[in-house]
Amino acid sequence: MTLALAQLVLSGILIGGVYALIAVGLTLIFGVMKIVNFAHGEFLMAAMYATYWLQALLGWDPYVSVALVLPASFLFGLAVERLVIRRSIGKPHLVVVFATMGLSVLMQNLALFLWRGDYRPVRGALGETTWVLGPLRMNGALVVACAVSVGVTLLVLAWLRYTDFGKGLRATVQDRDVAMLMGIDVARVFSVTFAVGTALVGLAGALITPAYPTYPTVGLSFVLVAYVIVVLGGLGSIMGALLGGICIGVVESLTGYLIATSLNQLFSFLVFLAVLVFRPAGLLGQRPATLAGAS
Amino acid sequence: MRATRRGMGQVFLGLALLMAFGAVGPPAVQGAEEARVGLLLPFSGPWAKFGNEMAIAMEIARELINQSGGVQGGKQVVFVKGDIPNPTAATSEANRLISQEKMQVLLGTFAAPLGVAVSAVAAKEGVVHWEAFAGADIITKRGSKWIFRNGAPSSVYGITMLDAVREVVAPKLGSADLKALRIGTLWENRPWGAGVVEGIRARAKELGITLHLDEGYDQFATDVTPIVQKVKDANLDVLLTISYFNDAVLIQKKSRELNMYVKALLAASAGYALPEFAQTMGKAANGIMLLDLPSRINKAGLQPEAARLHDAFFDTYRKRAGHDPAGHAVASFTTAYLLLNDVLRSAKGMTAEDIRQAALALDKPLGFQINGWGVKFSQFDQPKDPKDAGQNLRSFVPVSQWQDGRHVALWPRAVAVGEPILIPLPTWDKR
Repeated sequence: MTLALAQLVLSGILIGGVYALIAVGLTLIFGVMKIVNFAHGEFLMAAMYATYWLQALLGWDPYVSVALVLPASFLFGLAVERLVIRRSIGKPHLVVVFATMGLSVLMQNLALFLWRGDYRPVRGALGETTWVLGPLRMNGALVVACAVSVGVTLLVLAWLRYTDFGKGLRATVQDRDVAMLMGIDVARVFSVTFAVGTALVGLAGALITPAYPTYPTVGLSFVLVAYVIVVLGGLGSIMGALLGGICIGVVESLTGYLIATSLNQLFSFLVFLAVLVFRPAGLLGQRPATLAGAS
Repeated sequence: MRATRRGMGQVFLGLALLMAFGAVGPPAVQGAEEARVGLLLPFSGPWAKFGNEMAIAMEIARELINQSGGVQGGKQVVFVKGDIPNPTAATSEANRLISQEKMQVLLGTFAAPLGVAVSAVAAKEGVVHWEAFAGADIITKRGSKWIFRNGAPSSVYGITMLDAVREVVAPKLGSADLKALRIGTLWENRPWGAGVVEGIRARAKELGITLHLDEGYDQFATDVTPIVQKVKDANLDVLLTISYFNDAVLIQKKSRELNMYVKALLAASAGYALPEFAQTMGKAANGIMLLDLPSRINKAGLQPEAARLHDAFFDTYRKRAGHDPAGHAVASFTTAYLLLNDVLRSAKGMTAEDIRQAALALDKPLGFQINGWGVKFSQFDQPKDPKDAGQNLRSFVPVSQWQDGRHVALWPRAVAVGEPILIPLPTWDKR
């Protein structure tokens, strides 16, 4: 029993790392731009398809594909920000909700149209490797994804804290108008933030392909959890997203085993509700929970 | 420049809306020389893969009929399509096809929740619902005379699973007594899985077997560790499982990771039976037994006309889809062909009552359809279940096995094309 529980906690931490990598991009975009990106799951799906096609057509290993998928996701993020997001900022909240939802529907159906609903597996790259640690066992691809998630979260935090751009970004979060008066190019901050958020989810997409098959609606199953994590961690808190991700991963794993496997998502949402009721600013969020990277 | 940008944004969003609703297509223009049939399938959403493959198969049936003179004095058959990605859409599209398009027969639907939704509307409106294989037992047990289902209901899958354990698996495991085996079941907890497991439980009770695991799970779970750990703890000889694709792959990968071993694995469609499952799992798929709609069966058991049709369909389907049809595609073809060729061609007219009468007159033996099924519909005449009406009593669920990337039918013997292998399954380090 103890052994089984240790295995479940370990698996929960690993999958939690994956959730966190998806959630960090989402929370960064929310923290800075105050928009909820409903197409975040489809960005994940697009990166997974890119990784799949790089393997299917060129025989690239998913970890090699990261070198291309990551900058491509960044550029894609820039383009989406210019074409869709920028013109909905400053308008009523519903505008951005519909714009990103529309984008989500467009991308999902475009994938369906181009590549049908087929499930596309990516082989190799540790997806079938099991690492054994004493009595505990873990999937190689998830270990890598989790380690990258922790590393990237720390990098993003350092970027926000120690670079001039990061300072400008934090200033924008605190007060957009004053930041503008101080000479910070707020439009550029928004562009780069959205692109970095998209690049992060693109990275997550490439890293999870060895463990999860790719299909047009794959984003949905991950992004719902990512929303919960963003609220749990504190809207806009990068470190909160990492801790929240791991927390949700472990909760899902343990409650699934100890209570009922059919209800594991129920408990994530119970945690979500409890946070909203008892600590609306989230685990590491501030009140108002807006200081991206500062916590 | 700004105007251009705004324009582009509008085009972008316009496209999004178009893509969202585009699958529905324009309504067909009604003509005197047309026989119009409603076609409700999940063209988008998580089941789109199945819906689109079913549509390819059903279109082939329609073309064959139209090429050979249409129905009822030369009327060309036209499908009026509705996209039903979820039960809510299924209800509204069924209502739309009936009230606006004046459909008298609705063909579809794929998954149990979709079939349940469409059959409820058809029963209320007095329109024929011609279901291919959506499994939920309730679909033909509403007490309605308007519902017909060609494939077997989900409980039959569960019953057949335990029969296959008794007939095929137990002898290979050297255990004449089923009670000596530790048997358990793991099922996705929506109507399909829940329906199959009802059949398993009922048959287990009849046979006096204890189920050592009876666990439902959410098919959209991203972490399946708790699920697999529970199966491992149960220490089973035989696992009976019901999964869609994504969960099937995740569970098998996790089983390898956690070294969860069972001597025999029997899986009810749809996930384990898909070609992609064997592609993803490679050699590890070999030996897994499948209860699925029949696809590649022994043609010797087919009537000559069915054997000819079988080849014509397989050739055309391969050309269009780029791969062999899976069981759901074969069943979709034969369900559509049965409706168009055997019902509409002999019906007096196109009203729901005409169609119903022609369907009830059908009485064909096994081997009549290209997947080995016969046809005879129940009509409030089943002593065990007096409300049952419109269920094809001559459809069966064959048991096959993954052998080197192909389904090999094993049981019932009449449709078998090979012998069982790898019972017991090799341990994970040898796969």
